[in-house]
Amino acid sequence: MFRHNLAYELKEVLRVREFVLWLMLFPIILGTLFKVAFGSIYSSELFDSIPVAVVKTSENAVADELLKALTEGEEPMLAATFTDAENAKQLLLDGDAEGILTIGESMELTVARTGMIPTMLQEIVSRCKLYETVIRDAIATDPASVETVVAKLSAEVNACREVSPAADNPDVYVQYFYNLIAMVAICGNMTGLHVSTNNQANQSQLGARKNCSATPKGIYLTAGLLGSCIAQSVSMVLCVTFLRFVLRVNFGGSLLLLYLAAILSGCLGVAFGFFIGSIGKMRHEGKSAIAITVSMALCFLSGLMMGNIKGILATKAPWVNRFNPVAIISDSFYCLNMYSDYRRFITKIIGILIYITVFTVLGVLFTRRKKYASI
Amino acid sequence: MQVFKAFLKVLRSKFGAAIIYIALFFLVGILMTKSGTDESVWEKSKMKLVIEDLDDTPESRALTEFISKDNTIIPAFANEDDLTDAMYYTTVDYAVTIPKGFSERLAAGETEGIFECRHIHESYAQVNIQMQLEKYINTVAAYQALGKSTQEASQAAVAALSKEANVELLQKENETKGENSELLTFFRYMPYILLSVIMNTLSPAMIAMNRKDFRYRTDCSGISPHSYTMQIFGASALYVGGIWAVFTLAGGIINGTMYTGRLWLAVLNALLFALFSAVLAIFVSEFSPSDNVVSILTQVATLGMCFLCGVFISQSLLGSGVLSAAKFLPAYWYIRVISMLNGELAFDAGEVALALGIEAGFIAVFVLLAVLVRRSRVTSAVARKAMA
Repeated sequence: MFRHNLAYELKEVLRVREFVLWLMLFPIILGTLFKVAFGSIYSSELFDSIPVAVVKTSENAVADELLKALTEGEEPMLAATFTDAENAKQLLLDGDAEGILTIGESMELTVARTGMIPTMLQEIVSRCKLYETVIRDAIATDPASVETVVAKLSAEVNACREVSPAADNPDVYVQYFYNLIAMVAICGNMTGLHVSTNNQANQSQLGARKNCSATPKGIYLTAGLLGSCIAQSVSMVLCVTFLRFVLRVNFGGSLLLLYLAAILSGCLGVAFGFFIGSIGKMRHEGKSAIAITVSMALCFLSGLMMGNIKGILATKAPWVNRFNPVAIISDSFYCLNMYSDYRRFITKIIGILIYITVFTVLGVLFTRRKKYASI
Repeated sequence: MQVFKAFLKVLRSKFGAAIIYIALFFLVGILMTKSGTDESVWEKSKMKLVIEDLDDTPESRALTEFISKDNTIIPAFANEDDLTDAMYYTTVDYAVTIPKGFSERLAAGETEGIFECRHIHESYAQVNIQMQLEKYINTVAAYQALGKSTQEASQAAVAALSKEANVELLQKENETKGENSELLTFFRYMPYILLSVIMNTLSPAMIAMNRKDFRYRTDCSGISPHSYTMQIFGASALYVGGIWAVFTLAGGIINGTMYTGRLWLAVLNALLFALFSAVLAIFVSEFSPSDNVVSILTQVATLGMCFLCGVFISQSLLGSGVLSAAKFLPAYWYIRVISMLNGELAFDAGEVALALGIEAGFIAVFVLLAVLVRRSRVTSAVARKAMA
C-alpha cells in the first residue's frame, strides 16, 4: 500500500510542470548569471600594486629613496608612471592612475576619489613627512645618529604573525551561490504545499477522493512527504552538481557533506511548504503566494540580494541569523568552507533537522482529524 | 467602468504579497541609505579593526591610541567563530592582538612577529593596517636609537606619526559628488522592488482577466474592445502610478529631503522603470502562465537583471563583457542615470536624456510585443474555431 502510494506520489510530482522549471532550470539560469556577473570580482578586489603618476618638480632625496623602496621588489606597493603634470591629471581622470605624487621640496598627493586606495596613498606620502620629522629630531638630538635613524626607519620588519583562520575559499562572493542553493531548497515548499493540498478534501478533488478512500491518512501523507523529499533531493543534487562541475564554483570543504547538507535543506523546504499548506482554509493559490513571498523575504535576510546583510544583522539583530531557516542552510555551506572542524557544521545540520521536525509535526497536527461535513 | 472596477478588485486580492515586498524594501531603504557618505571633501577611509591589548602597558596603550585615531574600533568578540564570521562578511577588516610581553620585546628590539594578526581577505585594508603597524614599530625603533626609553619613544612616535600629508581631491567636470547620496542610494535599489511588486501582482491579475470565461462574458457584453482595453489600461496605470508614488514619497520622507533640481530626474527615471515593469508584466501575462510560473519568471527577471546591471553590485565592479550584455537591459540605463546623479559618473544632460530615451524605447518595444502576442493568440483562436 505504502509503496503504491509512494510511486504515484513521485509520478504526480514530475507532472507538476513548474516543479521542473522552479527547481531545475532556476539554479541553472541564475547560477550562470551569477557566475557571469561576479565570477572575477573577488580577484579584482585583492591587493595589487597601486598605479600612480609621479611628477617630479625638483630633487628630493628622501622622497626618491621612499619611492624606490615602494616600487621595487617582487610585489611592489606602487606601480609608478613618471610623467608631466598635464598627462598625470589625464591619467588620474581616466582612472589609469589612483593618484598623482608630486615630488618637489615635499611630496604632495592628488586623488580623484575617496576610499581605501587613496587612504593608502596618503599613508605613503605621510611617511615622507615622518622621515623629515624624525631626521629633524635626530639632527637636533644627535647629528651623528642620522644614518642609524634612517636605517631604522626604512628597515624591513615583519611585525605581524599571522594566526588567520584557514578558509578553503575566502571569496566572499561565493556566498551568493550558497544562497542560491538555499533558495532552491526553500522553494521545495511548492512540492510540500502540493502534498498538503492533495490531502485535504476542501482543497482539491484528489484530496476529497483520498479522504473517502480506505487508505489510512498516515500512509498517504507519509508517502506524499517522502515522495516530495525524494524528488526535491534529486533537484538539489542536480543543482549542486551543475554549480560545482559545470560552472566550477569552488564551495570549499567536503563535497560529500555539501551534498548531504543540500539534500537535508531540500527536505526542510518540503516540510516548510507542508506546514504552510496545512494552516487554515485559504485556497492553494493564496497559500502558494504566501509561501513564495515569505521564502523570498527569508532569502533576502540571508543575503541573496545584499551580500553583507548577514554581517549587518549579526551586529544589529543576531537572532535573525540564528532563526532564519534559509540563513541556517547557507551557513551550513559556509561552515564547511571556513572551518576545518565540523563542530559548527553539525550545529547547523541539527538546526535544519529541528526545523524539518517542527514543520512536519505542526503540519500533521493541523491536518489530523479534520472532518468535512460539506465541501 | 465595470471592467475598471473588476480589474481593481482582482488587483486588491493580489496585494497581500505586494505589502510584504513593500515593507521589506522600506527596511532595505532605511538600512542602505544610512550608509551613504559625503565624497565632496577628502576623508580618510576608516578600517574596522578589533584590537585586543593583553599587555596593557603605556607602550601598548600608545599603540592602541595611534591605531584607534583614524579607524573604527569594534569591541572584541566573545569567541573566535564570531570574529571569523565578521571578517568573512567584512564587518571587521582586521584583528590585532598585542600579546603579553609586548613592551619588553619592543625594548629589546625583538619586533619580528610581535603582533598576532587575523584576517580573511588579502585586501587593500589588510595591507594598509600592516603598513601602519610596521611604520609604528620602525618609528619607535628610530627614536630608541636616539637614546629615548621605550615609553618615551612610543610617545614620540605617536606625535611624529600624527603629522599627515595634505591631499588634494580633484573633481571631474560636471561631477556632483555626495549630493543627496542617501536618497539616490534609495533609488538605486528601486528596480528590484518595482519589478518584484508589479510583476507579482499585475501579471496574475491580468491572467485572471484573460481567463476564457471572463473574456467570453466580456466579449458578448455591450462593452466595446476599445473601451475594455482603455479601462484595463487605466486601472493598470492607476495601480503602477500608486506604487511609484508611494516609493517616491517614502524616499523623501525617510531621507528628510525635498525633491529639487536634478533629483526630479531620479523620480522620472523611476517612473519609466515602473512603466517598463508594468508592460513586462502585461507581456508575460499574454502567455497565460500559471501563478507559479509567473513567480519563476519574476525571480529570474528581477535577480538576473539586478545582478547583471549593477543594482546590487556597483557597475564599476562588473567586467566589461558583463556590462556590454547589460546594455540590452533597461536596468543598466536606469543605474547609469543614478550614477550620473550621485557623481559616480560625470553628469551629462545628453547622456541622461539618451538613457531615459532608451528606457522609454524598451517600454515601447514591450507594448508592441504584448499587442503582437495578443493579436496572434486571438487570430489563432479564431482560426481554430473556424476550422472546427
